[in-house]
Parts: sequence; structure tokens; C-alpha cells
Amino acid sequence: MLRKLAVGGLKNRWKDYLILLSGLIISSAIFYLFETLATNSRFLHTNGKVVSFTGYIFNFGSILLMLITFVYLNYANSFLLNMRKHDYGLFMMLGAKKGKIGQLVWLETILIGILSTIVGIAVGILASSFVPRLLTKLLGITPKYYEPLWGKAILWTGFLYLGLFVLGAVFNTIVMVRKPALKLLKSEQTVSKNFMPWYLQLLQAFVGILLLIAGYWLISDSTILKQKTIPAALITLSLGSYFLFNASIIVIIDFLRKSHLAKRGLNTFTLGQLKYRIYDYTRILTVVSMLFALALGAITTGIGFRNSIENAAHAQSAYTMGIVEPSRQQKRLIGRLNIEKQNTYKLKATENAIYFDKQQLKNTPLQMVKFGNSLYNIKYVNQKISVFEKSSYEMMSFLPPDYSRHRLKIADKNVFKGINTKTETLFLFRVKNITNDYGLLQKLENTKDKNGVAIAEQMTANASVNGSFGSFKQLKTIFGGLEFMGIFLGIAFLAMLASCLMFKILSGAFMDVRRYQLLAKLGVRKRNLKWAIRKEIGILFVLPGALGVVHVLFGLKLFKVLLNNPYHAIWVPFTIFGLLYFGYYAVMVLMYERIVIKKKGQSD
Amino acid sequence: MNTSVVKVENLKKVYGKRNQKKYEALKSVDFEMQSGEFVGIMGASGSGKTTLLNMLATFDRPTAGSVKIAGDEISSLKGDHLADFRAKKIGFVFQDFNLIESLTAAENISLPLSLQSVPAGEINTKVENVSRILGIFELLKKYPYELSGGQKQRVACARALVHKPTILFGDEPTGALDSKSARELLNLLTEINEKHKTSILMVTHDAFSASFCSRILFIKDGCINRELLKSEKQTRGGFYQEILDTLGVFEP
Repeated sequence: MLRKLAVGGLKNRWKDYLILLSGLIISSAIFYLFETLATNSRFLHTNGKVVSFTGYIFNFGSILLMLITFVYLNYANSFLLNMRKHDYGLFMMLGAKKGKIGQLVWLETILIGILSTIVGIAVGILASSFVPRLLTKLLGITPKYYEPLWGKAILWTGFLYLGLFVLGAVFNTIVMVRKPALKLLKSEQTVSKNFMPWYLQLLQAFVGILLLIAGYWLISDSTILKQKTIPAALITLSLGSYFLFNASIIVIIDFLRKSHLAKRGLNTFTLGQLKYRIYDYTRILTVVSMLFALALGAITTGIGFRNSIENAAHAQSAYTMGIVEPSRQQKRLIGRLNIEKQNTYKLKATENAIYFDKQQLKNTPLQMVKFGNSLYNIKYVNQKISVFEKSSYEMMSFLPPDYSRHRLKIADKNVFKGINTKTETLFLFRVKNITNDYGLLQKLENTKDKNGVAIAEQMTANASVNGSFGSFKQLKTIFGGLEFMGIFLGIAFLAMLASCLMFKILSGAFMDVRRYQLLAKLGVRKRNLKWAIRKEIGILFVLPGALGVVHVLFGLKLFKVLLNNPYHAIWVPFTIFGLLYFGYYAVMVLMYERIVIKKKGQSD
Repeated sequence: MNTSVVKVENLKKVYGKRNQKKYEALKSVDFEMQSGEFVGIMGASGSGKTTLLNMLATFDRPTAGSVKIAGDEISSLKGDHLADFRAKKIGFVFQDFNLIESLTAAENISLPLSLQSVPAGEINTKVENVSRILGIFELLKKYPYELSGGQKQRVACARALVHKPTILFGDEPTGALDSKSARELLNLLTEINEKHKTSILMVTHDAFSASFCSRILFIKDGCINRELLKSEKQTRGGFYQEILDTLGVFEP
């Protein structure tokens, strides 16, 4: 009989269970996704060798994600517990033995855990085979050695989730069995809230701001704590955000409630709702603001690496490409490029030397890269003729492989004329932006010159790169791996964030059904009800978002070592991220409205 | 003053969707209520009294028939018009108070006014006035969980009255109260009805509560079966006795 009741309860609340399960599935899928990266040392090694602390970052991220998962499962578990309290209380009233109830609670929690973990891993495998393909399609990055089906990741995900669920089950059983039946039955009706005295709030605000300042200070100068900067910053910033949220929001809400603004429309109601909830929300808002920062930071640095390719490539050579004896087809392609600088030189090759005309070099001097104080701070300057013969490496890279054993020589005008071989022309050019002309340059590289050789073939034979375009392609594979990791991490964190927030907000929605129905009975227009929902959820999204942005703006300083300018074109990732975040918000509002506001067909 | 506040003609309500078993909650109800009246609707559980009230208060739609409140046909109201009608013309007191736990008493009371974009200053005076009438001025800053049942219901009454509705509906307003609080509330309702000329229509199954009304409609099996009018000379006690006698015959 009892089993029948339990299953019946399950059937009646399948929608709530659906929310619970989907949340858990998303969470375990993300964890799996992350672990496919973090435990794949070959992938990390290949793609991250330029950055010594990639492995460290991933280990650290792994631990962080575990902690977040712990918090997250805690929420999910309390959601389950709240959902079932009433039913189990009822069973006890009907005379069910405590031991039996304990058994049922245990079974239910473990079953949900196993189900969501297995489905989650399956979804994770599916997603991880899809995500790299998507990135390849959108960004042209092909991550090497990335395996969607990764045994270690399955093991870790299963291990962590099942372990946490066992803990949760033990906890639930204890709570259910210990509490008197009447308390369980009426748990939904107890609503008392004790608000903190003002001096404690003030103290909290003070400590919070202090911790935030400390965190930002640590980030702004990573020489203070070196390797420990990231964990230290995470701890100080998390605690700081928590205290700040805990203290300031109540004060702000109270202030707004006393203002005239509160007396307009449903503002009082929204503010009341927020104040009523904020204690439950401070923890989640803190977690969300950290996740927001991590996600946005990861995407920003990922895209930052992409932006750095262009600059880093420009620093490798003064010319994008050099072509000996360009064919008509090549010239046509060159005509379509956005060229910033171009030079043409005559050259004559004998058996073991290549001669350039001194007069011509004087009239149109060859350019070279001059480095400033960093890799990215460069200038193009005219090369002196005296160094030309000594630094032949760059010039040689433009020439066909037949000449690889030749020496470069400068000849006076008359001597040059006297050399009795055919004159060839070397065309050198530099485009303004390699990324923009990438397609054309790629074509140009594969087109044959007058001698029937394409630069692409020339490069494989020479084992060197022709101009900055060659470097660009090399850098792309190196930085592409980092970009992939950044964007991948960003998406994972964002998805985790969204499901965390979703869970928390939706679990409150059931309590709100009555309130919104009451408002409708009091004569609130449907449009206004929807506005109230949008506002309330909007604020819960904006608060951690705003703090998260500040975290990122400071956090990016950490990447000054790696990136040209971490703040360059920062609006691109911010806009992309903002759109995704807004998308989550819109979905959230729709789901909430669906739960809280009655549909048209029903009587109002 | 003899204007009609509520006029119900041939009201019918059938529950159950198409192809489902139908249940006729209201068969055919006709009655009229004048401005300033205090009307009680009595009947056993399942007699249809709550269905009738829900339809009068626009919470539910009739299957057939007409309901006019202050001359407006409400069965045809939809969407925003319906919401505005509720916000301006109707006050409702529920059995279980239905206060919003996240708002203080004052905020709960001011809700209908802020919905109508009444200026903040005016809201404050109106809330103060109505709370003095109901004797809850001292409680304005408290949250619902800090109030007793009787206090909560008085706050709910204040919320239902603050925007000066054409009519106040009550759905067993004393149902969740102890006898002392119930008596206090009923005295207050009577005072509001007499002093402030507010029309009140209340559903109850309790003869004591009903004895505060000036007229009582008895509903049985979806029809109005009988009507009792309190005469000028009659005391409340006398009326109470008459109601009990009627119920004895009415509900064998």
C-alpha cells in the first residue's frame, strides 16, 4: 500500500520531478564534458604546451566544479526534500513505520541519482561529440586528440555523482525519520523570517567590500602570491560577494520600499518577494556571480587568443608573403588583396648564389621587424644594406626550395647586369589584415607561379614558413587549442550557472502560484503580472551578472603575460555572452510564467 | 438609496467538459441586491453557494444567464477589462485570508491602490484611514506571520475596502477564526455596512455569522430556495433564532 502511495505521489508530481531530473542531468553532463578535457592529459599537453599552467588551470577548474556540484546537488536535494515532506508526513499520519519511510526516502534519492547520472553521462557524450564539431564549424578550430567518449571522465562523473547522492540519501533519511509527522505535514506553512540587526549588516557589508578589494588587489598584481593568486582570489571574491549580497541588498530593498517608487503598480510586491527570498538567494547569487565571471573570463581569454594570432603573426615577418615569378593568375589574386606595402626586386641565381641589385635595394629598401618592449609592440623599419647579407634567413624563406643551398649576395648595378643568367622577379607584399584576406591568401598559396611551383609545396620542401602568413597558420593551430579550451570552459560554466539559477528560481515558483493567483483575483492585469515576473527574475539575473562583469574586468589582468592586450575588442565576447545570458533569462521567464500564471483556456 | 448593486438572472453553471459527465452546480438562480444591503448566502456543503459567489466575484464564468454588478454585465468581461473591474469595483475577503506573506500589513492593504496608480501620498492617507476603522493601525508595520488569525482577517478586510469598492464579497470570512475574533469581525462588518454604506455579500454556513446580515438567501441543490428578511424591530438574537428554525426545516 505504502509503495503504491509513493509511486502515486511520484506520478502526480511528475512535472516537478522533470525539473529536478533535467537539472541534475544537465549538471552531470557538464561535469562529464569538463572531465573529458581535464582528464585527457594528451589533449592538454598537445594544445596547451605554450602555456605551462594549462594543466594546473584544469585541475583547479575540476576541483572548483566539484565544489559547485556539491552546492548544486545540495539545492537539488532540498528541492526533493521539500517536495516530498508533505507526502511522507501524511504517510506517517496514516501509521507508516519510520523505518519503512526511511527506506522509501533512501530508495527514491538513490534511484533519482542513478537515473540522472546515467542519462547525464549519455547526454555528456552526445554533447561532447557535438561541441567540437560546432566549434570547428564556427571558428575553424580543430582540436587535436579530443575524445568525446572518454573512460576516465565517465568514471569520475559516476564516482562523484553517485557518491554525493549516497550522502544526500543518508541526509534525507535522517531528516525525514527524525522530524515529527506534524512538522513535516505543515512545513510549507511556516514562513517566519528573522531579519538581521542593522549593525551586523553593516559589519557584513564592510567585510564584504574589504574582501573584494583584497581579491582585486591580488589579481591586479600577480607577483604577490604567484601560483596561489587564482585560488586566493577565488576565495576572497566568493566570500566578498556573499557578504556584500547578504548585507547590501536588504538595505537597498528596504530603502526602495520606503520610496514613492514602491507604491507604483506591483513594485511593492516585487520588492517584497525579493526581500523575502534574498537570504535563500545570497548563496546562489554568489555562486552564480563566480560562475558568470569564470564563464565570461574563459570565453574572453579564448577569443583573446584568437585576436592575438594576427598581431603575433605580424611580428614574425615584415611581409605577408613572397612570390618569385608570380603568374598571371597569382597577380589577379594579389590585385584583390588589401595591400599595405609591396616591393618588387630583381634577382639572378647562379649555381651557388643569388644576386640582388644594390641600386634597387637602395632605392626601395627592404623592410624588417623591429621589436619594442614586447612581442606585440613592433614597428616595420627599413633594413640597412650592410645587414642584408648577414640576416639572410628571412629572405631565403621567400625563395623556392631549389635555392635553399645558395648564398645571398649583393651586386653593384654593373656587376648585376653582367651576370649571365635570366632575371627573375621577387614580389613581396604585406596585407593590412591577414584574417580578413585569409581566404584569398590561402588560394594564392595554392596557385602555381610561372615556374609551375606553388608556395604550399615550397613550404613543405623548405620546412620553413613563407612570410607572416605562414606564421599565422602555425600560430592558429597553437592558439586555436587554447581558444577551444577557453570557449569550451566558458560554455560549460555558463550552462552550469544557468541550471543552478534555474533550479533555485523554479523551485520557488511552486510557492508563488498561490500569490500570483491571488493578485489576479485582486484585479491585476495579466500584462502587469508578467511584468512583475520579468522584473523579479531580471533582478536575480542582473545582480550576479553585474558583479561577475566586475570580477572579469579585474581578472583579465592575470592574462597580461599571455595576451597582447586582454582588453582588446572585449565587447565581442561580452556581447556574445550577454546574448546567451539573456537567452537563458528569456527561457527562465517563460518557464516561470507557465507555472505561475494560468493559461487562457482556464477560467480566471 | 435604492439602486441595484447585484442583479442575477437565470444564472446557470455546469461543470465538466464536453464528452465528460456533467454536473449542474447552479440550475437557475435569480436575485437582486440593493445598494447598502448586507446579504448572507447560506446552504449546506455542495449546495452551490461558493460557485455562486465565485461567479459574482468574476472568478468563474457562468454557463448561461446574466450577472450585473452596478449595472455592468460582468459575464462578458475579458482580459484587462476584467482585471480592471476587479481592481476598481470589487473587494473580496477569503476564508484563509490570502495575505501575501512577503509584504507588511500596510503594503498588503495598499496593493489595490498602487495597482490603480494612486499617488503615494494619497495611498498613505487612505491606508491609514481604513486601518483606523478596522482597528489595525498599530499593526501596519508587521508581517502576516506576526499577526493572529483575527488580525490577519482584519488586514484582509482593510485590503478589500481600501479602494472603496462597489461591493464587498466574503467567502466564509469567519470560517478560520475563533469565536471571539469572529464576533469582532462581524461587528466590524456591520459597522462598515451601516456607517459607510458599503454593500456586503457574504457566504456562510454558520447561523451565528448569518445573523449579522439584514437578509439571508438559502440555497439548495443549485437553486435559491428561501429568503429571510430581518425586520426593523427584530434583535440579532431573535434573527439568529429564526435562522436556526428555518435551517431546521430547510435541511432535514
